[in-house]
Amino acid sequence: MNKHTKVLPLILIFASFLAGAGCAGKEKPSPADLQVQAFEDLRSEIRDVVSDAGRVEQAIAITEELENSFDRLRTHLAERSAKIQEMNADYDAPKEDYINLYKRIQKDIERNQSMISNLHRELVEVTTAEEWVSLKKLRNATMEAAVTSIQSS
Amino acid sequence: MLIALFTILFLGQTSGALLGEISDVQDSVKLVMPKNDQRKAAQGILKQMEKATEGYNKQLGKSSKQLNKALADHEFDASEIDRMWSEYHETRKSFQLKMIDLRFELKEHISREEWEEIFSGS
Repeated sequence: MNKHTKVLPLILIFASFLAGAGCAGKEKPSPADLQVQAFEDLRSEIRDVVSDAGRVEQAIAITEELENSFDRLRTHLAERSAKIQEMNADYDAPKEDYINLYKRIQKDIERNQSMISNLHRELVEVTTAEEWVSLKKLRNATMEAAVTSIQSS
Repeated sequence: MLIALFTILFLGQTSGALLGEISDVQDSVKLVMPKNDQRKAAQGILKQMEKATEGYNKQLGKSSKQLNKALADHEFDASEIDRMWSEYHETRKSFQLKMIDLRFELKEHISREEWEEIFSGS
């Protein structure tokens, strides 16, 4: 059992406990399903809250891009984690290789940050201040579902 | 929740997972290495890694709180948010370099065979 698989069950137990509260006896949806549902709920709320059809379309497109970005991120993080573990297991890995790997990771991180910042700005721009406040609860719930989904993968 | 998201984005895992991994290595060191000065030194370095991670997580928590507040505001100040990100990137860079240094210090006290056993399957 590797280090990740030792830690992962604890996260899953905790996430399952939260997800299972109030629905004992029913088959629990997977974290990935919860993420899909959370984004659907957010889009549904956008359709209800945003008053202009053109802006609704734009806001929906932004959430779809965000959802796709989370999916890509999940794959990317798994690859990054595997690479770090592989390098760490190599007793002879030179320090320079580590520094170069982390420089590449740094670029990934900056790309992620830029992507999230841009999507956030776009979403703010297509909503009014009142609509933004109305969407707060579901925005947070969607983010929470996405994080749980990434943690469990 | 942003704290968890940022940690995943930047470290590739949750802060709890990173501390969990350090804790696993601490356990493995106890099992694999004989009780001697080398083991004591390795344990000291792992403790430093743990402290550095805790300190970084604390800093990450502060940055995330500030960002969360700023991002929640519809009339957010883009330049202020950019400043927060760049401050955060600097903190992370120094954390990563510190952890790389400590990883190589750790290696100084662990033989190849012990290393392979400690990190087997990782």
